[in-house]
Amino acid sequence: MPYRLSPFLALLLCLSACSDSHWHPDPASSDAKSLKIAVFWSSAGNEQNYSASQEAAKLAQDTPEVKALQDFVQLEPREDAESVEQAIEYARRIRDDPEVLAVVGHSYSGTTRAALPIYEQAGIPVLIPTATSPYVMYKFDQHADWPSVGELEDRESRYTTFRNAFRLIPSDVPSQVEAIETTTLRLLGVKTEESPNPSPPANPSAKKPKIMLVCDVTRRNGAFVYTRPICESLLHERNPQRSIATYVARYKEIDAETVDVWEMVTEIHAVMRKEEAKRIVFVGYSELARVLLEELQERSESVKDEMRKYTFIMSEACLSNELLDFGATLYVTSPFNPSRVVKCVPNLEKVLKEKNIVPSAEAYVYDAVVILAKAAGACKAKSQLGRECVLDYLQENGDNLPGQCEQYWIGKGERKAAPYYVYTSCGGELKPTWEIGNDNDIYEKWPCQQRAK
Amino acid sequence: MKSGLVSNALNKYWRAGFVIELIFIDAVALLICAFDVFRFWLGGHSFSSAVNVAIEKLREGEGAAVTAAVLLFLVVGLPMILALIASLPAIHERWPNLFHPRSGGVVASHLLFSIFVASFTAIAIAMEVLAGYENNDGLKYGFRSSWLGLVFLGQPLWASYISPIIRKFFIRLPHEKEPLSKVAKEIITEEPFEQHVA
Repeated sequence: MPYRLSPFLALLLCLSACSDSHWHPDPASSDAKSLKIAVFWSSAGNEQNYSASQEAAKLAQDTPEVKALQDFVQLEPREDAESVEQAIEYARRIRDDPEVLAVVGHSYSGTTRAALPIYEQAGIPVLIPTATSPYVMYKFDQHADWPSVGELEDRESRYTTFRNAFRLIPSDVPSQVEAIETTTLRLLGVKTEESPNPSPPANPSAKKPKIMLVCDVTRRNGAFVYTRPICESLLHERNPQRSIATYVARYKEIDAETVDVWEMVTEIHAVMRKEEAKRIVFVGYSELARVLLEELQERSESVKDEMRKYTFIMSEACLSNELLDFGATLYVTSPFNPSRVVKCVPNLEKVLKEKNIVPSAEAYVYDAVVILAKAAGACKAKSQLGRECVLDYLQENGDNLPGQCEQYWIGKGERKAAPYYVYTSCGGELKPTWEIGNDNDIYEKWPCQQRAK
Repeated sequence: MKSGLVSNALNKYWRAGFVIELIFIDAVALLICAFDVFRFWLGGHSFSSAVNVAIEKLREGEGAAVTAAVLLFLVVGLPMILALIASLPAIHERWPNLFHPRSGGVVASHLLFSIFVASFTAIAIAMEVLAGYENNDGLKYGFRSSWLGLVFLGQPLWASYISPIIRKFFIRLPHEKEPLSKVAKEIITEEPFEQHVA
C-alpha cells in the first residue's frame, strides 16, 4: 500500500517547510517594527572617550527629518571595529540583518574599505562621513598587490567604484594632498603660481630647506589604506610648481605595532640637525603622532633641541588639541569647518566647550543622517521604504544632496568642489587659520587674535 | 528474500514515479526559479552576490536543513507522489497512456534538476535576506521569492498541526507494540498520548 508511506511523505514536506529563523527571519514574527540606520562611531585616540560620530548621531535624533520617521526608521549607533578583520565581521552581521536600511561609517579608511564589498552584496546604501582614502571607493582584491592611485584614477582604468557608497568628506587625493603641499610650500617660503606672496623664508641666503615625510603604515587599524595614497602622491612630482617632493630629505614609513620610537627620533635628529626650522610632514593617526611627539619632547633636553623649533604639518586624522601639549608648532590640514559646524549642529558648541574638543566629523555625520532621513521620507511617501529606493534617491540626487550644514555634489560616489582648511594653535587650541580654495590659493580667513597679542 | 521485498517496494513506490510527467513538473519549477532571478536582477540586485552569500552561509550550516529537505523531497518524495497518483485505479483506467515508468534520461534529468533546485532554495533565502526589509504597512522582505514561497507553503501547517503529530508519533512509537496503522490512527484522532505513555 502506497498509503503506508504517507507519514514519510508528510515528514519530508514538513522538513522542507522548516526555515532557519536565524539566517532568514520571518518579518511577521519579528519583534522589530522599524528599520535601522547603523551609525558607526569610534572614540579611539581620544582620552575623554569623545566620538564626533556618536555625538552627531545623538544630536541628529532631534532633527525634524528624523523625528518624522521615528515610527519607521531608528538610528542605531554601533561602536566601530578596531581592526580590518573585525570590520569585516561587523559588516557581515549588518549584511545578514534585513532590518538595516543604510549605514553611516566606518570611522577609518581601512575598515571602510574592508566593509564596503560586503555592504554592496546586499545593496545597502553607505554614506561615508570620515574615511578619506581614495582606495575606499574602488573595487579590487584586498589581498593582491594594491594599485597605485594613478592606476585607479586613470580614465581607462579597469577598476570600478562601489555603486552603493557616497562620500560626503572630500577624498585625500587630490584634496588633502594639495592642502598639505600648499601649506608646506607656504611655510618653506616657496613661491608658487597660486601663492605669489609666501611667508618670507627665515634666512634668504640659506640653502634649500629640507623636510622629513613620516607615513603611518600601521596594519592593525588599516592606517596604511589612509596614508599610502597621500604619501605616494606627496612623493610623486606631478606638478613641479606645487610639489614638495624635491624638499623631502627623508621618507619614513612606520607601523605603530613594530616601530622603535627611540630609533625613529634619533633619525629625525640626524636628518634635521642642521635645519634651523625643523619641518616634518606627518601623515597618519593621532595615536602614533602622540607617541612620536612624546619621545621628541622627552629627549629634547638631552640633545639640546627645543621643541618650539619643530613644525609639524599633519594630516586631518591628527586634529586633536592633545597634540599641542608637547610644544611643537602644528599645522593640521582638515576638510572640517568648525565655524559652520557649531552653527548648523544645534547644541554642539556647548559639548565641545565642556570637553575642549576640536570639532571634526560632526557636520558630516549629522548631514549623513539628515540626508538618509530625507531619502527615507521620500521613499515612505512613495510606499517604497527600503534599501533599493534609498539607493535610487541618492543616485538620482547626487548632484544636489542638501544636508543641514552643507550642500553636497557627489559624482561617482566622490564629493566634488569642497574646500580644505588649515588649523594651527591659537589660544591653546587648534583653530582654523587658512582656507584653501578650489584654486589652491590660501585665504587667511580667521587670523588668530590671541596669537597676535 | 528480504532484499527482494525492499527492491519490490522501491520499484512500486519510488522508481515507478520516474515518469515523463516528472520532467514537466521540473520544467515548471525551473521557470519559477528563472522568474525569481529575473525579478531579483530587475530590482537592481546582484545574483552572483546571492550565490556567493548562499555558499558562505551553507558552509556555516545556515539554510542547510531546508536545502537538504528540498533535495530529499524532490529526489524521494516527488516520484513517490507520482507513483501514488499513477497507481490510483481511476487514473489508470481513464488515461492508460499516462504515467509510464521511465529510466535513464528521465532519472538523470530529474536528479540534476533536484540538485539545481535544492541549491536554488539556499540562493533564494540569500536573495530575500540581501534585499532586506521594506517598511510600508509593516515589515516585509523587499524581494520575495516565489519558489521559496512554495517551499514554505507548508510552514503554517507544520507549526500548528503536523509538528505535534510528528512529535507524538515519535514519542508513541517506541512505547507501543501495536501496528503502525493503529498508532497513526490514534495520533490523528488526537487521543491523549500521555495516558498511553503513563
